[in-house]
Amino acid sequence: MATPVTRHRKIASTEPPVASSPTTPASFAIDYGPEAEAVLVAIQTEIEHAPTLCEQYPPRWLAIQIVERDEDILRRLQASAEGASLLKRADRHIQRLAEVYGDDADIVLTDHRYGWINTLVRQVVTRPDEEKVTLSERLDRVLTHRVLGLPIFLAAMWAVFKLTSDVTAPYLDWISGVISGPVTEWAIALFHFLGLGGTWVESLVVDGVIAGVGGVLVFVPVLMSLYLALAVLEDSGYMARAAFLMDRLMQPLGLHGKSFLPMIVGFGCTVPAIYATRTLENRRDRVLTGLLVPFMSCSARLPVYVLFAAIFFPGRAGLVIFGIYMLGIAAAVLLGLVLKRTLFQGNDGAAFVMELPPYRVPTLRSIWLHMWRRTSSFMHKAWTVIMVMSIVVWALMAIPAGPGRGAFAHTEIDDSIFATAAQAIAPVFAPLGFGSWQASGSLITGFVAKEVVVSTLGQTYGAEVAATGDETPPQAVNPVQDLVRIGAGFVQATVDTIKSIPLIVGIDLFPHDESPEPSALMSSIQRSFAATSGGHAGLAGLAFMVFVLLYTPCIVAVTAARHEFGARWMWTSVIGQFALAWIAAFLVFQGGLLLGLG
Amino acid sequence: MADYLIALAGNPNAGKSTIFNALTGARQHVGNWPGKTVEKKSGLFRYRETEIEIVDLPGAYSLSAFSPEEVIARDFLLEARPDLVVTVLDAANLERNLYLAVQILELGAPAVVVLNMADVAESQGLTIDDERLSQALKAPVVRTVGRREQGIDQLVETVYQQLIRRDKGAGPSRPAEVTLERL
Amino acid sequence: MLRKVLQAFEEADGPVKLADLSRELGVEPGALEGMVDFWVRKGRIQASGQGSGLFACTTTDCGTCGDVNSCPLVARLPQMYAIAQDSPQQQMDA
Ligand SMILES: Nc1nc2c(ncn2[C@@H]2O[C@H](COP(=O)(O)OP(=O)(O)O)[C@@H](O)[C@H]2O)c(=O)[nH]1
Ligand SMILES: [Mg+2]
Repeated sequence: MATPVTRHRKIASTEPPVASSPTTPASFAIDYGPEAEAVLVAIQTEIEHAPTLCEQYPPRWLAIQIVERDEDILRRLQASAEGASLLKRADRHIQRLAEVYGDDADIVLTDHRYGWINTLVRQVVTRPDEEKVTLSERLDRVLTHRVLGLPIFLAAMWAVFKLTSDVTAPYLDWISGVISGPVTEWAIALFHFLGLGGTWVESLVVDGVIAGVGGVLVFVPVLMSLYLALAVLEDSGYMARAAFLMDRLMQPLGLHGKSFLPMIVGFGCTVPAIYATRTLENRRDRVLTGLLVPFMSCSARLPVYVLFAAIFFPGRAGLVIFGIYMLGIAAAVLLGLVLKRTLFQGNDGAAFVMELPPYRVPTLRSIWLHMWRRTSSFMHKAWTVIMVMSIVVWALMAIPAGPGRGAFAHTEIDDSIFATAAQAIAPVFAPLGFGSWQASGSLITGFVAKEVVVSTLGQTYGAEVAATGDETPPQAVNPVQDLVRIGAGFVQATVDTIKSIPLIVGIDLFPHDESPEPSALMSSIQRSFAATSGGHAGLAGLAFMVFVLLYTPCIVAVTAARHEFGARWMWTSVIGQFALAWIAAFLVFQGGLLLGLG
Repeated sequence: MADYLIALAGNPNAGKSTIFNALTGARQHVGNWPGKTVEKKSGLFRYRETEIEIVDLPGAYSLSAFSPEEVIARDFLLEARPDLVVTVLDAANLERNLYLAVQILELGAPAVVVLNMADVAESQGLTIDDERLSQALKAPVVRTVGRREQGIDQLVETVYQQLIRRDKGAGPSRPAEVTLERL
Repeated sequence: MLRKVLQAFEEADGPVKLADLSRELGVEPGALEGMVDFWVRKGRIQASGQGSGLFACTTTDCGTCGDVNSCPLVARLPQMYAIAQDSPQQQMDA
């Protein structure tokens, strides 16, 4: 033979040959215990009487596969007459083993194998006395601590809402300014240029689309910052711990385990959360969970909270929004406890075993990806559902409620069918402090989607603002100057945001100039709520937020509930939510009045 | 014409491919398993005038038919009946990795057990009693650090010794024509 | 060993970390995962988490995602396991 060609040979030749196996090659076998061994031997004997099988498979191994019900091997055996008859005879033995152990026979062997390995590892592996504690474990000791874990989690959530409401406020103002300023001016100038100034087409775009969709798009920075914070928490591995903590919190209440999972999903969106109830085996648990899921505040409701917190609780917006979310959880827990003790008595859900991934530093790329995916889904919704609803609301506001009350697109807004219909329902909300037709109208359209509450408010109050504002003819538009203004505004917003970041932790490094000038829309809402609440606008605003938290999340969630639980439960859920929302808002408003708050 | 056929088996990420590369160098052939989209790597190496063909089996946690990889690995062991199975274990995750090793040994395949990732196990402060492990498994145990090619020479030597011992021994050796047929 | 794992799942009240269970039972985490997988295949333990089909949201008209397979609003949760109740009580009917 030729000289060695591999480097192993070369290197190997410089070293002494190594002694080979210390043991004589005896055949390896695990002792599966007397009963199982008897069965294995019996089957093995059968196999040894089948020559073709013996040739193809090692007999003991084949016997083990048969007892373990290996699907692939069973299929192959079934294919031949010899194999099929072997299986038939083997079944008798397997049955016997199953009876002895009171469980499937395959479990017996696998259990033994794992046990054998575990014993071997205990003998062979010596672990250090003081097992090395990874950084991840040390973090977990604090972050999932029985006592400290929950306060830390709540503090983290509070910081997230502080970030989304307070810190992004400058960007919100900036976009709001851009949309109501240059964008609207450009649109009006364009329509005048086209000779359509003052027509219904202009009104459709300006009062319908820009006021409605634009009013919702204003909240893009808010949602982006929420998604940014969530992406960081998710990618770092903390969200997994939060799920663990929440589950533990729910445990004494009997709402833990599998029924808790849809609730967590509900913070993102109620619709998949309702579908997620499918993992529960028990219909009773599915329905109960499906009834509670809508109280977990989904991200579509956030723009309403941010808008109202900015109007009525400037400076404390983060805390108020945090409180609203907590109220949703509390409502679900209380209702869950009541229902579990009455209509839905039954066993508690099985506990979760969770695989918590180690903590890691999130990558910018994945944070960006998650943030972007969610933000773009929000924008997608703005151009579809919200756009359609804005046009519908615009049309209803343009159609006069009867003869002699103006013509299409030339009616007093209060005479439109939208205002008239909303006005008819408004008394329902009067005891809650927000009995104006604008508020009731937005809550009605809000059945479609929660962002629509904001877009409708933008349209209804926006029309009022436009009507009271002096009708100035469009000034000559100067795009260059506008762009400079927009750019400068963005820079200013960034500076303001950076300045406000220390506020998250409660440090006020920069003296406040003054509270930001509320927009025309905001002061218009403020005035209207003050009027309908007898001067207690703050209480009425809070009651409105509570109402939005608790009533039907959106029409798709209703459809999902009907699909999963049937029409009866769907109506139970819709009516129950409305009743609960009304009662809670009533308690907030009237209770607040009694206590002399606001 | 190779004199022997051996297979590399192990859990995913146990270091099979690393060891495969260290053994074969450039003498590799990459294809697919017949009828599957799973990659098949085979290669050749020579030691003491012996030509050994080695096949890198797809990573599997068991030999039960739970995944295509497991079916491929099992069928290869059943049908091609390699002369030796080199079972690569992640020494830092011994308990899980041993499950496959035990199933391979239960199949009756002659085996060499490789404790790869010895460096990782060591950094975790684990000490492993090779001798005792070898006795329990009735197979030689070799320690390697695949990434640094440590222990590869010893592995080759052990593989070689096992192969010729089986040839000399009274053990049930395969008929010679099968060896030829295969290649 | 396998039975002990199932037993631990049955007896757990409140969430348990897989890592803690591994320490408690004296089983390496990787091996414990293999045992849990065994029970999942047997249908005695139910797995839920990413890619488990749990979040199979069957609607496209929610207006949010437009892509059934990837609802962006659902947070990525850890892999979770729970004992499967084999006798579903179907007492509540619509
Ligand atoms: N630290 C360390 N890493 C190794 C060792 N052997 C392989 N690796 C690394 O482990 C990873 C998986 O190895 P690979 O050979 O692809 O595993 P396979 O899936 O079994 O083929 C690769 O990144 C290797 O570089 C070793 O002994 N020590
Ligand atoms: Mg590989």
